Amino acid sequence: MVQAIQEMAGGVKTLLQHLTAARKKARMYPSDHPYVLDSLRGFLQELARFLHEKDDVTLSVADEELYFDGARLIDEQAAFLALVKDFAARKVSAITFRRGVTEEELSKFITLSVGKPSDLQEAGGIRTLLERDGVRRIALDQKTLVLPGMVAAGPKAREAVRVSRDIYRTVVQTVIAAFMDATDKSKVNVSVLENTVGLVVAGIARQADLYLDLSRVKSFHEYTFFHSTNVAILSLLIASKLHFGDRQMHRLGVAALLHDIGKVKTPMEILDKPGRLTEAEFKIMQKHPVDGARILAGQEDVDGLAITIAAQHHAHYNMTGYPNFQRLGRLHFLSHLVTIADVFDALTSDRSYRKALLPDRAMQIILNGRGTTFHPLLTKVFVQLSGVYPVGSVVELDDGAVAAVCKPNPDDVFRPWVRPVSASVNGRGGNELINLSEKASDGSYLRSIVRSLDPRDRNIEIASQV
Amino acid sequence: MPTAQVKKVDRVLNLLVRARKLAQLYPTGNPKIRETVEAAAKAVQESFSDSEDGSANSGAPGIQFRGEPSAGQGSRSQSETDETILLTVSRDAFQFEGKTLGTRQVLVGQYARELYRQGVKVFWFRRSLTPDELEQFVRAAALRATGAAAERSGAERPFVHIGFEVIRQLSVVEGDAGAVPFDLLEYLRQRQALRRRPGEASGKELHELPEDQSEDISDLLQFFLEIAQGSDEKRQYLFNTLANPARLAETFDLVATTSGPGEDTSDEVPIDVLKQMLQHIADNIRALPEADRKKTAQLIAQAVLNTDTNTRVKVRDSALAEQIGRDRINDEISGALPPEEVARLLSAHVRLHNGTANTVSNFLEEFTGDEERRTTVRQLVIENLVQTGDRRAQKIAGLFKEGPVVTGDDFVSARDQAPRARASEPLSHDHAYLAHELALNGGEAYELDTLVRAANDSPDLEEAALVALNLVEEGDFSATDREVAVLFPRALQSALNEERYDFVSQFLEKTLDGPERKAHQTTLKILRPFIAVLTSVENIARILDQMYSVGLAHPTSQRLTKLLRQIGEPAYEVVFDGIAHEPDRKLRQFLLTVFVGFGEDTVFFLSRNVEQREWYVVRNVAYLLGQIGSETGIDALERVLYHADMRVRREVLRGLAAIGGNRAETILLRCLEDDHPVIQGLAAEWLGVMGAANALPVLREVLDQQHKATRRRRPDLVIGVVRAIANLGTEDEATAVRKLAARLRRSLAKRRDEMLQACEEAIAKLEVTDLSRAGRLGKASN
Repeated sequence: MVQAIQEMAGGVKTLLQHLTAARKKARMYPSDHPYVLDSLRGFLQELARFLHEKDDVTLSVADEELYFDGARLIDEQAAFLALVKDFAARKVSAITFRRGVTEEELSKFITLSVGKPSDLQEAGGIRTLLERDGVRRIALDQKTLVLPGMVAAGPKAREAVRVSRDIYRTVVQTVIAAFMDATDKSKVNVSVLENTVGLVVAGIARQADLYLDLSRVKSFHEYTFFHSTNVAILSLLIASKLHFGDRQMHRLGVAALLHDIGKVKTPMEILDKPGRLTEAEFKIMQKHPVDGARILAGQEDVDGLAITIAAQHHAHYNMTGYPNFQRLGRLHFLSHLVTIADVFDALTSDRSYRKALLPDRAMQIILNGRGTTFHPLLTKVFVQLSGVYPVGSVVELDDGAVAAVCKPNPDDVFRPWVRPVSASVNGRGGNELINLSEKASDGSYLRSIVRSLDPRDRNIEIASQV
Repeated sequence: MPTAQVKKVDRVLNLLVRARKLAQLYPTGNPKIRETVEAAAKAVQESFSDSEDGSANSGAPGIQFRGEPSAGQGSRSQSETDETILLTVSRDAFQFEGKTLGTRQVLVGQYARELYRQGVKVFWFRRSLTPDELEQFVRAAALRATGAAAERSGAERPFVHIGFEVIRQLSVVEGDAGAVPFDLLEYLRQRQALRRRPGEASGKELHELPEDQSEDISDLLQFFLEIAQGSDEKRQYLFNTLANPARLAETFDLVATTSGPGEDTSDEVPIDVLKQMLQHIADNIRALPEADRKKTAQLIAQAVLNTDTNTRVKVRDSALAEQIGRDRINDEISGALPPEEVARLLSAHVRLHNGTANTVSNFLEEFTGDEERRTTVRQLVIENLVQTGDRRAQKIAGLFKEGPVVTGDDFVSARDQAPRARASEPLSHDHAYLAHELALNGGEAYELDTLVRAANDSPDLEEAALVALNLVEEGDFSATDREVAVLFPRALQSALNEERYDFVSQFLEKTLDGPERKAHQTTLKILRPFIAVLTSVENIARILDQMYSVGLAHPTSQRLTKLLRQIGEPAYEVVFDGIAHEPDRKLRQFLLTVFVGFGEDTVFFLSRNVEQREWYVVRNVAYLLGQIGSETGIDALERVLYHADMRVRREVLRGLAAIGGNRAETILLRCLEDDHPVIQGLAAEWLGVMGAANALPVLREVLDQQHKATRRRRPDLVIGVVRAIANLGTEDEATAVRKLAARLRRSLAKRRDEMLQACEEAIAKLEVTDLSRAGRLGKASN
C-alpha cells in the first residue's frame, strides 16, 4: 500500500514540470514540434492519472502561491515561481483541466498561455481566445479559491503558518515511516513519533486555530497517512480544550497517529475498493482495530494508551461497534475522543466509495450519533471546538452572500467568522472576515446563516494549507 | 468526683451482668431473675440518691440530667423523672463520669463488649426505671447476644424504648425547649474556660497553654477530627447542637469571633474556620436519610438567621456563597434560607466568588423550592445584581430575565438532561470555565471533570492489558500469543511498581476464572506470560512491605492477602522462608499472621515442608497448621508427632488441639500413653482446652489412677488431667479433684504444690461454672 501511494506522491510535481517545459518549448518552437509535443504528451499522461478518479483538477494561484485542487503546494513554490508570475501577469487565477482534455486543446492553451500579456489583453483576454478556438475542456477562472483561516498578516504570522505547515508535513512523513515499519518489521519507531507529536502539542498550545485549519488537509491517495495526522491533530485540539496534562497529550497524540496502524494488514483492494464492501470484505476490514492492537501490544516501548485506542476506536459509545467490548463494560475516555476525530475526518474526506461530505453535514452526523456512537459530552466539546459549521463550510447568508467559514466562534456555535466569496447584495463583501454574532443597535443580528452550500455546486474551492 | 456514686453504678452493672446470665439460663418469670433485677433496679435508685446532692451534676460529658435548664445551675425541679445517668459503652468497658468500669471485672467487660458489638454505644437509666422495664431490656439484650432472635424476626430494637440508644442510628431531631443536652457549644466553652482559668489544678496541661483565642480553633478542629476518627460521643454532641438552632447560632457566633494566632485579627481566620465547620457539618449529615438531611439543613439555615449580623454575613457571603454548585448539602442549607437571604447569597456568589449564570441558574432550578419561590428569588437576585454597578454582575442579571440560562441551540442546552447528583469534589478551575462555556449542567460538568481527571491519571498499561484480556475472551487474541506475553507482564509489573495491587488481583481473578481458562483447561497456559513477574521474590516482598506498613487489620492488607493467595505457592514460599529466617521477632510474628491468613489452601504446601531438617521450620509448620485449623493438616502433624525435638512435639499437640475434631482428639488421647510425661500432661491439658467432652471418661479414669497411685504418680500428667477436667468436668469430677487435693495435702510427693494449685484452681472453676452448665444442660434437655 505504502509503495503504491508513494508512487503517486510525485505526480503533481511531474505534472507541473511537464507544463513548465511545454510552455518553455512553445516559446521557441512551433506548437507541433516534437519537443513541444513530447512535453504535452507527458503532461497529458500524468494528468490522466488524476482524472481517472476525478472529473477535473484545478491549478490555482492565490497570494502568489500555487494550489493544486485547493491544496497549497509547498515544495513546488520555488521551482514554479515563474509559472505563478506568468499566470498573474495574464490575469489567470485558476485553470481547470476536465476529463477528456485532448492534445489539441492543450496545445492551443499552451500557445495562448505564452502569448504577450498586452497582446492577449488586446485580443479580449485569454479566456475569450480559448472559447473562440473551441477549447472546451480547459476552463479559466471557473473556480473560486477561498483561503479560510489563513489570515497571515505580517511576517510573524506568515512564519507561524509556514512552521505549522512544516510540522504537518513532518508528521505525515513520520506516519508514513511508521506504517512502512509496521508493514516490513511489524514494529514502529515510537520515539520518532513522540518527537513529532511534541511539535504538534507545542504548536497547538501556541496557535490552535492554525492546526484546526491544517486538519482539513486531505489526500485521496495518501488518505491513511493524512487521515492519521488529522485525527491526531483533532484529538489533540479536543484534549487541549479539556485541559489535559502535557504528558497525556503526548501519549494521546502518538496513540491517535497509530490508531489505524492495523490497516497495514488489510489488503489494498479492500481499502481502496470503489463501492460497497461485501460482507466478507467488511469482516476483514473490521479486523484492523485488533490487528493494530496486536502490532502495538507486541512492542515493549509502546504506551498502553496506543494499544487501547487502536483496539477501541470503532467500538462506539454504546459498544455496538467492533470489536466487542461489552465484557469489559467500558471504553477508555480517550478512545471516545479519538472516535469522534476519526469519524469526522473520514466523513469529510474523499473515499474510493463516496465523495467527501460537507463539514456541516459531517457535524450533523456526529451530533445525531451522540449518546449512541459518540460520547455525548465529548460531542458537545467537539461542536464547541469546530462549530456547527466547521471551518471550510460554505454558507449562504441572509443577505444573499455566499461565504466560507473561516473561524469557529466559541461563544455561539451557530455564528462563526466567515469570509464572503461573492459580493453581497448590500455591497458588503470582499476579503474581510465577518463575525456573524455582530448585532445591530436594535439587538438583531446583522447577518445570519440561511443554509449551507456545496462548494462544488458553486465552483468554489476551499484552500488548504498543505 | 463522686466515688460513692461510681461504686454504686459499678454495682448496678454487676447486677445487670448477673441478671443477664440468669436470663440466658432460665425462662421468663423465674424468681432468680426477678430477684436480681429488683436488686439492680434498687441499685439504680440508690445511684440517683447520691446524685441529688449535685455532685454528679458536673456537666461533664458522660452524665446528663434531662429536664434541667443547664448543668449545675439553680435548684432542681420537683419533677425529676427525666433525670438520667448516662453510660457510654466502649469495646471492653463502660465509661461513667470519666471512670472506666469493667476493665478488671471480666464479666462486666464481656458485657460491654457484647453490647458494643450490637451497636449500643450509650445507655442511660432514668430515675423512673422500673424492675419490669429493666428485666425486659436484660432479656432482650441476652437474646440478641445469643441468637439475635429479635433482629432475625425483624422486631424493633428493644433498647430504644427502655433507655438504650444505638448511636449509629441517631438523627437530628428538634430538641425540647429548655432541654439542653451537652453539645458542641458547651464543649468549646468548657475547653475555653479550662484553658483560661489560672491555677486550675485539674487542668494543668490545659492551663499551661497560652491564653490565645487561636486555641479555640484547635478545639473545634480537634472536635471534628475526633468525629472523623469515630468518636460517637463527639458526634452526639454535634447532633445535639444541630438539633437546636439557637445553640448552633451561638456556636457560629463563638467561632466567628475567633482570631488567628498572634496579631492576626483579620476576618480571614474566622471565615476559614466557619467554612471548615460547615464542611464538617455537611460531611456528618450527608449520610442521613434524605428527609432527615433536609430537615437538618433547615435547622442549620434557621441557625444562620439567628446569628448576629457580622456572623451571618461571614457565613452567608463567604462560606455558603463560595460553595454554590459544589456541594449538595451546602446548596440545601443555602436554599433553606428565606428568599431575601438566598438572593443576597447568590449575589455574593456572582460578585465575590466569580459565580456564573449557569451555577446560579442550576441552583435556582434545584434548590429554591416551588415555582413561586423560585421566581421571587430570581427577581431579587436580578435586583441585587443590577444594583451592584458591577458590569459582569449586571450582564448575568440580564441573562436571568428570560428564565433559566442556556446558550446555543437545543443540543447544547442545559435543559436537555435532568440534573444529576453533584460530587462533593469541586470542579477544577479549567473545567468550571468549560462547563460555563459549554452550558453544561451541574451533573454533566462534574462528569466531564471526573472523566478528564481519570483519563489524565489513568494507568494506561493496565487498561491496555484489560483491553487485551477482553480480546482474548472474545477470541480475537489468544492467551498464547506473543503480544499477550509481552503486554501482560509489562502491565502487571507497572501495577506492582505503582502499588496498584487491586488491579493485579482483579486481573488475576479475571484471568484465572475467565472462559479462556475453561477453553484451555489449563491455568498455566494463561499464567505463563506473567508468572515470572508475579513470582518474583522482589515483587512479593514489595507486597509484604506494603502490608506491614499499613498493618494487617487494614482493608488494603486484606486485599493483598487475597492477592498473595491468588499468586499461590510462590508467595507461600517467600513468606514461609521469611518466617524461618527473619531474625526480628516482630516481623516474624507478622509473617506468621500473614501466612495464617492464606488459609486452608496452604495445607498441601505446609505438609510438604513438615519433614524439613531444621526443628524450628517444622515447629513453624506445626504452628501454622494449627492456626489454619484445617483437618487436612492432621496427617502432616501426625508425621512429626514423635519428632526428636520436644519443642516441635509441644507445638504439634497445640496444633492438634487448635484443629480439633474427632481425629485430633483420638491422637491426643493416644498421647496420654506417651513415653514422655510432659507430652502426657500437655495432651491432657489440650484435650481440656479443646473441650473434648468425649475424653472426659478417659481423663477421669487417669485421674482416679493417679489418685490411687502414690509412688508412680506422674505430676505432669496429674496437672494436665486436672486442668482438663476443670474445663470439662461436672460436680462429680469436682468431688474427685477435691479428694485428690486432700490426699496430696497429706503427701510429700514431688511437685506437690504445683499439683495442689492445679487442683484448687480446678475446684474453683468447676464450682463457678456448675451453675451455668446446669442451665445449659437443662436448656438442652428442654
